[in-house]
Amino acid sequence: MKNVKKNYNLILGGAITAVMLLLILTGFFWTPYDPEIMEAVNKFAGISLAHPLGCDNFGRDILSRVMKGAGTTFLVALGTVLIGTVFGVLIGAFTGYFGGTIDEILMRIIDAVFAFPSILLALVFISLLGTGTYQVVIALGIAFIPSFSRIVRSEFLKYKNMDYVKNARLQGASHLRIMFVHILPNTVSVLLSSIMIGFNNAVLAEAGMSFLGIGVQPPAPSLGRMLSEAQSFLFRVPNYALGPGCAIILMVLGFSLLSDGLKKE
Amino acid sequence: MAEPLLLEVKDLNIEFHDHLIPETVVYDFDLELKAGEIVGLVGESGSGKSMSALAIAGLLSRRDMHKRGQILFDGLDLLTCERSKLRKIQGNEISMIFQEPMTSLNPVKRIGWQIEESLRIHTELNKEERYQKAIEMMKEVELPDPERLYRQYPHELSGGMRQRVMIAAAMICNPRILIADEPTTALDVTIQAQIVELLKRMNREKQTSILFISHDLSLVKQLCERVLVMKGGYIVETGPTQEVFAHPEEEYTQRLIAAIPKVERNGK
Amino acid sequence: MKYVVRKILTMILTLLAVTFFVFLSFHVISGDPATSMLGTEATPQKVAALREELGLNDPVFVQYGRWAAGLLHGDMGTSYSYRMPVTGMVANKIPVTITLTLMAFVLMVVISIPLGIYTAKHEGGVVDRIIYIINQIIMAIPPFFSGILITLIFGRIFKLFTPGGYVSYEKDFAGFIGYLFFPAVAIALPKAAMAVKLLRSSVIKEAKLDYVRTAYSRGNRTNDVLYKHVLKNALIPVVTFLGMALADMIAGSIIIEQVFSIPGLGRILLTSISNRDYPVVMAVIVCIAVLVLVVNMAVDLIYGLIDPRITAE
Repeated sequence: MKNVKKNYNLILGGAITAVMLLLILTGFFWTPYDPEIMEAVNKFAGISLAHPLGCDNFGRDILSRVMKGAGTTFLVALGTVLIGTVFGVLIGAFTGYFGGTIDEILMRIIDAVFAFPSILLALVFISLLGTGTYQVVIALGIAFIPSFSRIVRSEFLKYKNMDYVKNARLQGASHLRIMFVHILPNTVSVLLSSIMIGFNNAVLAEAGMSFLGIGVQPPAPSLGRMLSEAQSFLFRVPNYALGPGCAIILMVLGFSLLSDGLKKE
Repeated sequence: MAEPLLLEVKDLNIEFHDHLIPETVVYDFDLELKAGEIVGLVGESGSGKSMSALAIAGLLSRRDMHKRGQILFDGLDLLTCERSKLRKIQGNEISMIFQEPMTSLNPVKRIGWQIEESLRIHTELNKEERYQKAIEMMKEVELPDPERLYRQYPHELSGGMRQRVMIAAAMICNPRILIADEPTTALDVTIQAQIVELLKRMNREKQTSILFISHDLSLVKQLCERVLVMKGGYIVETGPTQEVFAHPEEEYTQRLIAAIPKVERNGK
Repeated sequence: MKYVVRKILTMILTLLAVTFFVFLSFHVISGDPATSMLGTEATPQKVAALREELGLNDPVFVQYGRWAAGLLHGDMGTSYSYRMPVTGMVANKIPVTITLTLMAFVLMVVISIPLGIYTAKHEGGVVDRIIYIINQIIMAIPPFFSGILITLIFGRIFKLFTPGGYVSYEKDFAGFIGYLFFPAVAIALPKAAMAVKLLRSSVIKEAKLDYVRTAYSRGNRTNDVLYKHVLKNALIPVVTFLGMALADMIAGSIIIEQVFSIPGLGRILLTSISNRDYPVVMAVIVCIAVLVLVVNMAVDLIYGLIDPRITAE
């Protein structure tokens, strides 16, 4: 009988993620103040009970903006991972299962794309497509496809020669059926861990792009952009950067602790 | 006149301590080994034979494994002596070869380097002298083209050759005891016979005592003078090989022997 | 040898494919360069004349060929916004980005390798647990935020550097390096944290393998086994990661340059994207692509050096 040690990762990660999700979900429907209302009188207000995170240079309540901004970041990351996963799985499954020349060519292309940092790819796409939330999702999503497809491909390569697959073939199952009904479920655990890592990377990437000004456009609040504005006022009002910064950190931290905790199970 | 004992194991008990409840894997293990003797240790998987061997070789973690008893080598108790003394003996006086030659060799180091390793650790020989000894040793274990092999990597060799490399590396310091843990199990039948012959030769020419661990009774019959039969962590029977095979006392031993394919059993 | 040749060829082919893709994309998207360049002075005749002059009526492949050939000669085209040769605009930014990235890389290696080995060796110990927590936190901090924090703490509070006070390498090389130090730290931190995690788990995994037992059986000490046997094997996956990290850091420097006001490739890339100055965008992307590909190839080559199984035909 093994020692049952407390899985601190799971507990802590779960707690943080739950809190963040709560904030985000709440933010979709309600925020303490309207994130876009500017009240000059509150300009650079410090931390107080009325404004737990203070106000920004336009007098807008930072907490409300953080809640909304975190929501945007979350959705963007979700969209990115969705695109990356769906196409990654499709490409990976087909190339891994069928192999052949298509596999060779596709993998070369994928490898070439994979060689490039996702931010760079995203920048290329952004400069082609223009800035904006949807463009960011598409750009980042495409940039994330290579890593997912590689993982799925290697999993499919592993499973396609297994006996139960051969059995299924003998019983007349179609290729599609084998791929998605038989093999895919086995890859879920590996895929899940990659998805969680991908989600975190997407959060960071989106924040980075908003920071550069090529992501979500104003006046929609976005954590990255808030940080970029905070930078200009860094020395006068350092706590401006605290809200959005911590929001990003907690989102990523919570999720990565959670995924580490789940892995141990 | 009684010959001095090379190795004397008394009352060895080994307990696993990495789970909540300690698990004993070896109970009251006794062994006597004289110079130049070949002793066999047989049993099925989980009988405790490998654990006992690893304990003698000093390779069991002192943290997770609680050992009681004594392992006396040259008067020194290997279970309680200082690590540095134990290390001086490992590879030098007591060597070990393992079951899987592929994974037991470092994949990123050249063969020659690995064969010489014990020389590097235990002797003051220089590079050239080590090289000569390694080549010599490779010839003794009947490895073809030793100069070329010296520079190759493990993945370039066949299973049988890798095992010969392991033996060469283990024998290069002329140890008094060679512990062989299932050295032939992962090899082809034809190669198995060759390796056993090689071990016999080493024993003859260098007077190396061999502790031969295997679940393959036919090989044990060919090679060993005495045999210990283990089951569930206990020694259930022991004695000269001929006798034990001809007149097994314990039911378990009888069953083991009965399990050998007829041809081999009656062939010798 | 064959391995090396193969890798170089792959790199060249990939470079061709990438540059072509980039060229094609911008060609399609950018509308009429001539009109962009002439701006308000664009009349149909002038546009037609400029198109003829710039060879814009030729088939795509020819245009690509011309551009690519130009690149090889160091001519990166002409900026739309400034009507100047791009090469001049970009050339002096390259050393800045390269230096910044290299410094970050060195910092990453210097921090992570000893820490990775130490935490692996003392697995489960106090230091290991603390490092784990620190790692998790660092990995969650986006580099630009750590850049901001660093600016605040070391720039403002400790006054170890002047935020925004970039020193050109032509004027004062020591000051140049000095100023780049903190930005390099910001870039290196998250990657170093990942590298520590990876090296640690790699060493721990390797240490459980059979050949380690063999090494002990020959009388090796723990440190000997670690450094002579395990490390080389354990570093293999880490080398791959370091290569990817370096490529990522080249991209990461784009963001950090903004935070610290460093005139590198990143800055000029961003400005030209917002200005739709496509020749510059293409040129910078190609520069970065070349750097990334060279790094990847170097990693593959080093990989071949460490692991003899890879180069086996």
